[in-house]
Amino acid sequence: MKRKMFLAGTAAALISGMFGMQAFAKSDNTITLMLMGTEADAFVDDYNEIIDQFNQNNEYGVTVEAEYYENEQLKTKLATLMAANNAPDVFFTYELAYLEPFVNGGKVADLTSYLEDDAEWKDSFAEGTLELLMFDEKNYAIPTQVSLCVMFYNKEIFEENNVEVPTTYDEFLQVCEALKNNGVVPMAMSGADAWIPAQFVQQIACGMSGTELFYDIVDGKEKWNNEIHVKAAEEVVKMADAGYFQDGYIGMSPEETTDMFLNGKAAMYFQGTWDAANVTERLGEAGGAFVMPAYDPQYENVSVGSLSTSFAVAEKCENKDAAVALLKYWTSPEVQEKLLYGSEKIPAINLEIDENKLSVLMRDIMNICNTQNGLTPWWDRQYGAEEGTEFNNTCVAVLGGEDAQEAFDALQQYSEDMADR
Amino acid sequence: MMKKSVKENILTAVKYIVLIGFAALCLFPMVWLFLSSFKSNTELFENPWGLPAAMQFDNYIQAIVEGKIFLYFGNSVIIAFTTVVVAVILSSMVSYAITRMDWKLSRMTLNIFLLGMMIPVYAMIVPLFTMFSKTGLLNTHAAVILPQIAVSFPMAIFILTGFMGSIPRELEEAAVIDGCSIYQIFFKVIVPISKSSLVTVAVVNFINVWNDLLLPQIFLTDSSKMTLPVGLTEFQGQYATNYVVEIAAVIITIIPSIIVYIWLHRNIMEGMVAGAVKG
Amino acid sequence: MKKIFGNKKSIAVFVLPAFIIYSVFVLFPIGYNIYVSLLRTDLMSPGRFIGLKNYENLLKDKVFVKALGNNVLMVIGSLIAHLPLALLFGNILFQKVKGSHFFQTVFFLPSVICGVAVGMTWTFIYNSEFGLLNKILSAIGRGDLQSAWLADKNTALLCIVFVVMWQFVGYHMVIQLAAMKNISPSYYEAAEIDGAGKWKQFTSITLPLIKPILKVDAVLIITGALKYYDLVAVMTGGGPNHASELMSTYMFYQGFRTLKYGYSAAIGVVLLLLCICSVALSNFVFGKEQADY
Repeated sequence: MKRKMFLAGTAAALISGMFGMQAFAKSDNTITLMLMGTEADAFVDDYNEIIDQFNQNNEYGVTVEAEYYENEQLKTKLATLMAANNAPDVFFTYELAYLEPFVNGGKVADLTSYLEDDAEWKDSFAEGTLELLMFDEKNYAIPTQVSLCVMFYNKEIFEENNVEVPTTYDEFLQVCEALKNNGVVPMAMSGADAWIPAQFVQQIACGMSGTELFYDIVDGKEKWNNEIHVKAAEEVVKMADAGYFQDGYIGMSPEETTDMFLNGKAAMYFQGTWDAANVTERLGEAGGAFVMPAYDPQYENVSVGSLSTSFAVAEKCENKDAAVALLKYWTSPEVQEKLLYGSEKIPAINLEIDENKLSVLMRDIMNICNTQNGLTPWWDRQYGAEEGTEFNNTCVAVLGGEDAQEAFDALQQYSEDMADR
Repeated sequence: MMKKSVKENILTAVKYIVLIGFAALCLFPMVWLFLSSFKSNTELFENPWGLPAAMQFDNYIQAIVEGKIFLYFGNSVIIAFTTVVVAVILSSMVSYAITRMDWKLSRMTLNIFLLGMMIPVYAMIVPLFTMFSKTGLLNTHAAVILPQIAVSFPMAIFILTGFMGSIPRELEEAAVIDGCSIYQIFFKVIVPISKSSLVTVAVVNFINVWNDLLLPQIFLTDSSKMTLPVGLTEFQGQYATNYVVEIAAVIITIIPSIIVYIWLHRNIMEGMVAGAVKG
Repeated sequence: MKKIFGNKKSIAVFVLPAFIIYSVFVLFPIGYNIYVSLLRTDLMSPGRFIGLKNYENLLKDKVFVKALGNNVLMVIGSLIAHLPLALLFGNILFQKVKGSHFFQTVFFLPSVICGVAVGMTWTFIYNSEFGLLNKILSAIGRGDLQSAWLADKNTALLCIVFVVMWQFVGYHMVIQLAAMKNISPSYYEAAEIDGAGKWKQFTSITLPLIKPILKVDAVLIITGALKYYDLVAVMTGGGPNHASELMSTYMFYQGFRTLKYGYSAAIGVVLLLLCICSVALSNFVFGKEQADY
């Protein structure tokens, strides 16, 4: 009998031990915040300062606890947390299709009333930004930064090789050719993460048809395997075949590729403006940016771009007022200026910009921003992990040697199959 | 003894070349990794072959302090230890009841458990995820420990019933005559003589749980709860181009395994093959 | 006596704790998984019953078919390395070689190291910039063969299969060697007297006598190859463009990334069926003398 008691006791102790470990009582005074960033990102320090400031000064007496995740990991993690109804109180999100299933699942707090109650806040956002985060006419997230793809370039390398910033597509190819003949890598490109070549293909397609193709596909009027996609992908293959990207680019990770440009080993790098801070930090005055010249001159100044960072609040967040206060603080002119001048992030609110405080690079970027005729969001934001990701994969497949027409036909087929999965 | 012919000598030489060659293939990656862990990132690129110019421990310090490797290590210990203890106790009890006690359903019970050897964990991941998220167990160590215990039963019971079935009846009969209860028989007679099989089961189970990535990756989302394998993948994301720190983290992860292996390799080898060769 | 060993209450005490855990965390989820595989659900909005639609879509899904093919390749690669090659090593060590124990210990080592660490190690070896493989190629004057091994869709999967082969040769070798050691030496002595050569001894004594173990081992190899996850998750994540996708990684991707849990559960069911089939198949190939599974 004693033995039995002992047994039962051990079992009870073990089980309670196992469950006891979960005792992570999150007090009401904590707001968990999930952010995207890695050890290598220059802006992480600024983010942490902003959070410290908020922690010390907010009227709710809450403490924000931030965790940073790398892009791919964040996407998986957030999906898992959402399905488990365990989302962090405030989280980084992409716009459009990425956020949609979470909204449909009732996991994301409706912020409409907060925006209605504070007209000044609502009106501060740049035109067209809030809309990207609206579903059924309700606001589910707040944009904090916008971004678009630009061609970063290294002014020193351009000067050494006597080339100028190209203004037409042909000039761009000539610049690449000249650089290559001088033994310089014209463009750093990465193939290991499919979205990098994909955004370049999308950019070339923008230069062939403006924003029209994009919205036709979204509206179902045009197919994925239309000739412009095929032609755009083939143009990029031509560049690869001509040796305008570094050797072995197809296997390089985005981080390695960024490093290459930042170390002065490549003259140009096509990437979202979120990398601007890293470029300024490492290249200083030599860092510049121009908009990729359009293939067809009538579609100049149409870029791939959309929001860079948005924050949403979880429906299950117990202290929504404090969470919204954090968002308001994050989108206040004070913080937006800090991120613009310090971390080179383009504000999502309308801001009086002091040119003198901008780095050389940021002046280029803000110029590009102000002259845009249209933006198309990244495909994988518009379509999320389904067609969006497959578009990216298709582009890499074409660069890997697959026939462009066949690859995009397959994408179209995938999209049709997807409709009832 | 016959003199060895030339042909035999050549054959022996070939044998040794094959063996030494493969032994080198097994060890060399780890030696290379170990040497690289003391290099700086630039050195790694410029001189991937040679010895490090100077012994730098910076990589290790960064992996431990910023990378929280020891935290993951602690979580792994908690999870693996709890799983092994519970799994060994419960599976030995079942095996005892199946092999030594008289009841009609014993054969069927055994078969139900053994059936589990064929079941891939993928066939239950989604339901487990739903169950844990509904009960709030997600992101607790229990969410990994409980399924790990459950999936360890088939192999453990397979090995233990094999052994316990061969214990002579007389031992128990003597104990009964001495007035022992069934529980006393189990703990005082059966457990001590089954010790080697229990160690075998514990070792296999420990290695499986310690190395597993899938369950903790899905069920533990908070980095303060993560185990080493998940922590390492996390690391890969955060330190994407800081290879030497990643390498240091890998070394910290595998060193304990290698030490334990050198120490217990007989038990480990015996244990891990026991499932196939019958314990 | 009977009373003690037949006592219902004590039997329950011994069996029930394990049986309950096993039922709740293995048996019930399997049944539930089959049910989920008939739904279209993201676990957030209410699920919708769609019958066998998920399975129909799986057959049409090129990526899934690709993953299935990759798994088959993985099975073939594993079988080559873990039967003939492991048998060769095992047979060499069986012939009383000096340092036999040392070699066993070394060969076995990779199989006890965690898959994530192994995967990361080989990722460094395959790295196009500083990786050992490319450096070795250029050192032996074949720099032209250098490649971004894991990023090239033609080589990514093969590179991973190679690591799997490398990692578990020792494990299977030790299993087979243990079986060989159980053979009574008298058989070999008799064969020696009859003048049978080593090869003859291997084919007519060793092989038939370890057949039951080979069968069990083949099941382990095949189900193992169907279940690999860690290495691919760490080394390529299934890329580039799904070239190294396995069923396990694709299931993870569909469920925990694109939120198609019903679809993901269907992949789990397919994996379960394949594991059962492989057991049946090896029973068929090796005959039925030992019905342990």
